[in-house]
Amino acid sequence: MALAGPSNFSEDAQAVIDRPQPAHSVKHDNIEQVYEIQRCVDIITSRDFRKVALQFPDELLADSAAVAELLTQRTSAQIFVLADTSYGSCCVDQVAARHVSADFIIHFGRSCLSSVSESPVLYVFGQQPVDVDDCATKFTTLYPEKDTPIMLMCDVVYAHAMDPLLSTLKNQYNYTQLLHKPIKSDENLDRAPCAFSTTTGCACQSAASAGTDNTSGTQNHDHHEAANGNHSYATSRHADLPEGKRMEDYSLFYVGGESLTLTNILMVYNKCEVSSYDPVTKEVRAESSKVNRMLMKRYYLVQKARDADVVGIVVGTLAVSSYMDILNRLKKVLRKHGKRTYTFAMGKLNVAKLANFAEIDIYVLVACPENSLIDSKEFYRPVVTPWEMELAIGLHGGWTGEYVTAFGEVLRRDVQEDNDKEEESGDVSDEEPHFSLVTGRYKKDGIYTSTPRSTATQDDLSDDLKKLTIRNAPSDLALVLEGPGAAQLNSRQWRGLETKYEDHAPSAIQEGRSGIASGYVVGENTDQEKR
Amino acid sequence: MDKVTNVRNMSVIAHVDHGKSTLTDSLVSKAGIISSARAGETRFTDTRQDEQDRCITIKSTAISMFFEMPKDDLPEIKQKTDGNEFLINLIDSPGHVDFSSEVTAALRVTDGALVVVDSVDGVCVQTETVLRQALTEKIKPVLIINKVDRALLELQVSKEDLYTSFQRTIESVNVIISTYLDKSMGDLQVYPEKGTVAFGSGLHGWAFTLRQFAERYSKKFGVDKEKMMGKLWGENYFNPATKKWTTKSSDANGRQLERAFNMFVLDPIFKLFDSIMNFKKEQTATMLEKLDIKLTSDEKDLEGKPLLKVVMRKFLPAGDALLEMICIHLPSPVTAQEYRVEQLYEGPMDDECAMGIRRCDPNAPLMLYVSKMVPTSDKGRFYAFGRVFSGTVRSGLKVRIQGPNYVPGKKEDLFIKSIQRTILMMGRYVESIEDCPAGNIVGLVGVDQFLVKSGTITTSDTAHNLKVMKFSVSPVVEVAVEVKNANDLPKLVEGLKRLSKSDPCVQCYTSPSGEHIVAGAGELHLEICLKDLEEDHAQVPIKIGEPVVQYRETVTAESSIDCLSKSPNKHNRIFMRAMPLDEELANEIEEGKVGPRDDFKTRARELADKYNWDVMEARKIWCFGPDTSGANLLVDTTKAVQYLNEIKDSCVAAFQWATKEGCLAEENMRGIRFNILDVTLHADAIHRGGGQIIPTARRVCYASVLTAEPAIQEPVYLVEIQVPDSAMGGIYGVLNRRRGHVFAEEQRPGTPMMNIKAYLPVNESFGFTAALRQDTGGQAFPQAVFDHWQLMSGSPLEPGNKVYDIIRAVRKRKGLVEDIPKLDNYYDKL
Repeated sequence: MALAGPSNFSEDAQAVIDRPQPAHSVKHDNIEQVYEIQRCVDIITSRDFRKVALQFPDELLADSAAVAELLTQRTSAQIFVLADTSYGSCCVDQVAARHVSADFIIHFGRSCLSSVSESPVLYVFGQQPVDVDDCATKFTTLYPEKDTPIMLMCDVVYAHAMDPLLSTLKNQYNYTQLLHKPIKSDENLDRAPCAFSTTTGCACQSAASAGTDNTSGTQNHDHHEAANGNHSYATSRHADLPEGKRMEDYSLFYVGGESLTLTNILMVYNKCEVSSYDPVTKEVRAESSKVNRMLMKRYYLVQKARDADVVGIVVGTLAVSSYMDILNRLKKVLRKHGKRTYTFAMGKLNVAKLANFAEIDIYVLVACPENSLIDSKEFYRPVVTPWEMELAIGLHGGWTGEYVTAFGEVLRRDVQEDNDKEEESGDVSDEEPHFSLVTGRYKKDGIYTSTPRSTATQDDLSDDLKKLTIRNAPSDLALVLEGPGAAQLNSRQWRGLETKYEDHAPSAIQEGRSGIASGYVVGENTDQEKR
Repeated sequence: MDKVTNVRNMSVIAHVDHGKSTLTDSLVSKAGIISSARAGETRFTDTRQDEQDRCITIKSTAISMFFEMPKDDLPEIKQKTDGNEFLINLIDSPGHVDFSSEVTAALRVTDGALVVVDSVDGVCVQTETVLRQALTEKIKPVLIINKVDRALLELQVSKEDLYTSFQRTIESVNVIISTYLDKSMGDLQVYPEKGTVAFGSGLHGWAFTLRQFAERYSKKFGVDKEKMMGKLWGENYFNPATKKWTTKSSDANGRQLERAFNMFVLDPIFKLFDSIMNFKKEQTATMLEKLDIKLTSDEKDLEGKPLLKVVMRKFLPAGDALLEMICIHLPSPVTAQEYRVEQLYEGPMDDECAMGIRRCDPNAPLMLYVSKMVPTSDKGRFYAFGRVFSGTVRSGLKVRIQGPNYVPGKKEDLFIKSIQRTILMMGRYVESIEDCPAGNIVGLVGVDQFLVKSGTITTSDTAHNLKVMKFSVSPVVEVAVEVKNANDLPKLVEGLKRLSKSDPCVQCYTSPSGEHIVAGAGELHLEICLKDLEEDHAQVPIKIGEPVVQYRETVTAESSIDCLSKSPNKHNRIFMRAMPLDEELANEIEEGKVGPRDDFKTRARELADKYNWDVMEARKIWCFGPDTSGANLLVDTTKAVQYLNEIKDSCVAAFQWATKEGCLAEENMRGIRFNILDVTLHADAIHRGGGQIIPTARRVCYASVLTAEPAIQEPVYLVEIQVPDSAMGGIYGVLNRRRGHVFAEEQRPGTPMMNIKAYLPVNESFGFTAALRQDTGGQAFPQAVFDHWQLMSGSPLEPGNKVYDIIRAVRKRKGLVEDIPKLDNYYDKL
């Protein structure tokens, strides 16, 4: 992530206007085709949407005016363009859409396909050309065995080419064990505000609501049964695996170039062989070699997270469904494990923003899968995912190499494991320190929390207080002084404006001036003088 | 045990293969724990299988023994005693330099040291190292010159030669001791005539001090024993013709006189050796009778060496000589703690804990230092091994366990727990005891899970820590380990935890690239650690990477330009230059002589006097780094900058970060002084917060390093090699191939052995021992200890030299982009 942060307030206004923005956006000629204008028009008219928000990422912004123009011409709906999203541009910006009370959002460009909690969304990826024949030929040289189990995946912009590729491979080259993960651009289309969803995408939500005591306010209290069978949930891309097959048995073939999507797939399916075909360069690469390295780095971060006493939970999305659930759950489990939490909402992350909070030991980023993996080398404190944080505090059976980026999946895991943990925790002494692999020392947990027992009572207390709508949780003086903020302040050399108690000894009371502003009198003497 | 005045805590220290464990056996047998016949071969204190197999001590082992002194000898003891029963807590330590951290741990809990020196090899590098360590810990040494039998049997030296060799050894020991003169402890030098030097052979089980001979002769000559001892050493001669003592080496007629030592001490021994080894049976028999040595019928049938052993053991039993030397000359805890307290305790010298330690008071608050962890038979658990300095420790006592990072008044690194059991360490066995008063060495059960390696245990709320031990070796060689089977990872992690407990020096950690790293002092040390890890601690198959060394990033010139970095919001600017620190200053910082806790005025004065610093600048050292104590300095050289103190904390944080992960290869920086030249800050506090300053200060540090002709330093071993001069050629060959160079070379007088000292880059030392053995036909024995950091010539920024390749290799290993980031990444144009 770039070092340059926002610089709205400025030395002088002209400089800001003149400063070139790094994002470059190129206009496309074939707008009609790239942006699937006709499809958009059909959907808008058929469903009779009145206000439509078009969300563009920075690199497609140049075309926004043209697209809006076309849609306004062909439909009767009011069209708004949303840009400069507060979080990743791959997520649907519902908050911005709500500002204009749009009843339909069309999301253009790359998308993480995270399930969305409200309002119908259509994804338009912007189709890019693929040489299907070339790809198929490369595929055959890569996998000479016709019965290798292979799963096909692709970057969203090449999604349109997957069906032709699949049929070519099946019919022309007789591959028997191919599997394709379909990407549905209209997955969230049928979602009406506060309606039950029927798409498969919300299966994770249902699990979430079953797993945690769902105190949060997500609108979709969806009650259809948790998905059965061999659903693979690891990302929002999902495929039904045949009976008796596990994901590890498959090789992955990915169509698309280097991107967050690919990184994400590599991390999640780290036990599978992954190869990629880049339609731009027309090259095939084995990708799996670097995944181990990436995982190791994440492992180090997990160790760091384990040592942390103060955790900052950064809200990196407002769109992905059940983000409130994970937020609440993180707070709950972290407190249970003796870590202080603070919640931050700061829009797009950057180094400067996070470095402002020196008392935080580690940040947990709650964001869509593709934006969660942050290489935090430049950051003053590392940034981890909810999954890593939960691994660090010993949920999910510790580090096994299994990796989950989507927190919907993390929520789902809870169902079985939280109960197991409850039983186990009996024989483990809470006060025993753990051995920190980062420092090679012992690390005592919970230095900023009082004993677990009193925390519990405090919870009850504050819950009760909530009912009475008193906002501040009880915090007596001793607790405040032992908090991480106070500790941080103590370790600082500069603690704000100086308090010089010795210079402020109480002075004797003196008689002051009296009278009106135009003629003060001081004491008795002046009184006489004046006369 | 309760009579603290009659306790002696001592360690046995020496160079490798000088016979510590063997000599210890004599004492163990004297205490009746093993039979005297097997003493010298059992090496009772080598408890591990691999120690027995390799014939090398790896872990220090403690053993407590109970003795009775002959009542007549008691007046000799110059300190307070109570009865003639003595408890000796002895710790046998390893001699190999790779394990010298074990020695440090042993020294901390003892008051006296038995220094063992090989009569043939003399004082070697490790003798010197451990002796120096003992002296800095205020440990009183006594000397034994071991393996005298070798000198007699193998080298066949003359009496006078043997005397001069003894004298030379004693002198070289005294030279070392005299540099550590400490008034509170008195004269620590060793003198044969005072009985603080013994001579003997651990293998044969005999030893003597002049006191023993003086005792024999004092009756004969009717001279006072102490006077006699004086006569038996040095320039004292006895003229048999006139029966007069003289200090001249020739009599009135110019005839050569025999030195008293040779005549009265060495002569009987030489004669015994001569008669027994040359099978002169009758002569032997008469001598035995004269010396009042009675043999059993079995023993009478022996011949040659076995007979010699038996005879000498009866003539001059090693146990007696050592026991006498230990009890008479080594201090009791009461004596020792009075002068050691300042060395031991971090807190004020007048609080209750310090007073308790000084008086060795069993009723004062408990102060106990855990110096190491000893594995139990129960896998994964450890005995905490340490010394009670004050108070009394007993089972069930509720104590405060303070780790090395504990700060009085804070909760960090502090646990309040009960002690489950107290035990006595007896070599391979342990014995449960009820309680243990001040002055004793003890093992504790039930505190191991709260301390990694060492720590303080106390009952006083206000107690400060006992000082952390300072090791003479540092873990400079590291390897990455990983499990062969991914599911074993938790076991490996647990194993690493146990490994780092079981060894005082080893470090286990995870690198930022996610590898598990084990770092040790040298190849042998690592080898043993990894073997333990695989077989005992983790018990899973592991893969071990190539050994690698750490480098240090430094600069060789002042930055060519004033470097500038702007904050992300472009409103704050920091100007900085980097320049090299004096190498001596960097060393002093690393040794702790100059540190962040010094008073800034005296520190500034010292820097100005010694290193020509500007006093005003020297007063404005903001911090040391990395880890707030490293050998890099951040100096404020700005003039009248507003709000500067507000950003100080942010700059310090950034500086710690930057010096921890340098810009060349994310290694630590070393020996760099960063001068903050000027700072421009935004007028609003909100726009100059940590978020703006920390990244900026870090970048400007990197920029100033990149413009100051950056370079890297590599660790270098000091290698001492002992080799017969015939095999010298091989050594030079091996050293040359490995970029090593010899800087000292001396022959041990009277022997064909050469002592070679050389510097060898640690990076080139892997397989060095093996190569050396190969090229010298197994005759050379190297000892390598980390000595200093050496600048490597070559610029890391330009291709075509070794440094450039090293940097790229390191970056690749760490999973970084192989090219060093360009200056533009850190430097902003005005």
